[in-house]
Amino acid sequence: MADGSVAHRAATLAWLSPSAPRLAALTSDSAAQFVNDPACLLLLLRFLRPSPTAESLSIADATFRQSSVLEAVATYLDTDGWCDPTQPEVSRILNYSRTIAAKAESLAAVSGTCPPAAARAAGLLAPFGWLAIATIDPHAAEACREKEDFATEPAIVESELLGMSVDALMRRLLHRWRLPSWLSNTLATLRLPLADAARLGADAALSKVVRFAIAAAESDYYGLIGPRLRSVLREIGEAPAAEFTSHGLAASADPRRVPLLKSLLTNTAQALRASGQSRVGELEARIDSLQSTLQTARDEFDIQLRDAKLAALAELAAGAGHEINNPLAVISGNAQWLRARESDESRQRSLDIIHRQTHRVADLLKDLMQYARPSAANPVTFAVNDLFHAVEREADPIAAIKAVSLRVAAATVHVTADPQQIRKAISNLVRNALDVTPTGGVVRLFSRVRGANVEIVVEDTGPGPAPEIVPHLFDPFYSGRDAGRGRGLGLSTAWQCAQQNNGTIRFDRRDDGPTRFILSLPQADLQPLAERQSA
Amino acid sequence: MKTVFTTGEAAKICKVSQQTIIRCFDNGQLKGFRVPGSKFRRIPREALYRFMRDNGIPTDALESGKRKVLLVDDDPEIVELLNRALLDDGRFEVKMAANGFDAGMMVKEYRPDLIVLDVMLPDINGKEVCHRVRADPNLEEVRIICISGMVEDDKIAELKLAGADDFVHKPFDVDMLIERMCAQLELEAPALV
Repeated sequence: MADGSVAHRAATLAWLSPSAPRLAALTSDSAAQFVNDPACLLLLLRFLRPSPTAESLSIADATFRQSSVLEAVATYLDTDGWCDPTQPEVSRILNYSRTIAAKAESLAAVSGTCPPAAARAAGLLAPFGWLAIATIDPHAAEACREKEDFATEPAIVESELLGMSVDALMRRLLHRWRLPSWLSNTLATLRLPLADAARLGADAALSKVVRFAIAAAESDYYGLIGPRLRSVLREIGEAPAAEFTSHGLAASADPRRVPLLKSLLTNTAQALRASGQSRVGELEARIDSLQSTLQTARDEFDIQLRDAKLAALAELAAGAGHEINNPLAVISGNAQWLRARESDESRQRSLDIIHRQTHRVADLLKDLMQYARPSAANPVTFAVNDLFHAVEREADPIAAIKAVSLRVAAATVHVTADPQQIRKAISNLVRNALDVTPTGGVVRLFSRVRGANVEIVVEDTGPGPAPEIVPHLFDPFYSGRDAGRGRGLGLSTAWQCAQQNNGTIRFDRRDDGPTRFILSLPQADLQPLAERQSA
Repeated sequence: MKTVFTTGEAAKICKVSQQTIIRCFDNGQLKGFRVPGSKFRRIPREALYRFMRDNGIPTDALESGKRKVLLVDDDPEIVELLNRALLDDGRFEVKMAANGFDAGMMVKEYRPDLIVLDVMLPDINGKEVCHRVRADPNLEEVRIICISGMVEDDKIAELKLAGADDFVHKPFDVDMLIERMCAQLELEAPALV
């Protein structure tokens, strides 16, 4: 019954269980203690994430307290896989493992051909097939070893007594347990000639070191080499370690029967998951900070871009000022000269229009310049009411011509700003409103206090701007604008004036009701003013 | 035609200081009279003419009685426009230059009362012309009005620092420009003809 044979049963093992004290030690962080235990090393190689490479493997430094490792242990704890390390045959195999490991490590360090930690790991695991056998039946392992032919024909003896060669068993376990390929390719090919092993993916340097270490260890155990060399080799290697104990647990205790070991493992896994979450939180915070850095960079870029645009516009305005105003001067001057000598009224009117329109173009260039390179604000504290009256006087004739009702509510608030610039901003907003309000409509100008700000609101009953042009309302000469609203530089200049005075202008989006532009300025602190007046 | 001059007017026509005219009046070199009931000095046209001829002062300014203007602009149509307007006005005698170099030469030869100076000239910048005129003590009395299509406030401020007396934007209202010229020359605004 092949399936019932020792080797076949060993091939179905879910794991090799470390001893209870070592399992308990996994929950604290005494990593260095695992360096001698094949079962522990197998766990780590199988479940550590990221999976250790030959180069990255460093048993002493690795952090084994990973929830993935502990959860695997908690899952496998109830299954077979444990063998008592104090049982004489098991103990012998373990010592054999450790001897190979120590020699492989020394050889790797001396030769420099492969990483010593990887050599130690490969050496420690080289006989792990025998541990699997001993887990099922320690006496079967002993029986093999004591067979006469074992030294010369091990594979035949193993097949006979165990049902499968230990090599074949190891290959199955290496494959099922998904050990890292650098290790499994080396261990699975140990009995093949070196060239063939390399062809099958074994690490040549690692294979050489492990094979030599095995040969040296076997000379110890089977007396094939003289006692003198044996002692030299023993010096290279380390003395077999006493079985590891921790948490007051005996190594000989069956881990499946140790009370609370499973909950200790599970709890530690959960604690690690939780600290993993705090790690996640930390990473999220870093991502947040990266994003805000990106945002800041983007904002600064936007400001630089805007400044560059304005500088280009200023240059254009300055150049255009010279190139365009000269011919305008000629056109307008000649129109004036003709006008002075013209007696026909309709011709006089035409000449007046030519004169006026040339000055309109010139004013536009001046506005463009002012928008692109605004003069610095000269702030004083003043009553918004004063500006309202001035704007009303200026706008009334236009409102009258269009038969639009202009309603200005008295404002009793004060702001600290440049009155000329704020007047220009309000005036442009009112002008824009009057331009688009159809006959019979209403334009309102009023103020209100919102928090620390004074809001100057200009409302009209004209059609609001189309949604797609709202983002461009304050762009100079934006070509997609509907006819009338915000033509030229009116809104752009108003925006610029607000900016110059630490204020903002926004379009108040509403689907029903009037179209609204809101100029917001910091309210003046009247306390010092009152003190000055009373002084 | 003007027949009697004040000491200030005589000083402008002769291009000397008012103090010099008063000294010459008081020591008898320049004949004249005082306004009855006051101490104000007045100089008849013939007396001023004789004084200028005797002292080698060019008499053309007195002969025409017109104020001398130098128009400087590289755009001939602007020069033509202003020339026509000033001749129509009748109070000005006009010469023209199309660049900074010619302007510099003509300022010294023609001795204008006022220069209408375009700033963007093809050779020497208008600001530099202002500097050069102001650096010559003999040209102290010359008034300069800069005209330009430029829109930068800071550049306009620089021109005034360089010695320009006034600045007028292009395009301009021609009547307004003449008013500003009259203001610089202390002429009455309405034409006297």
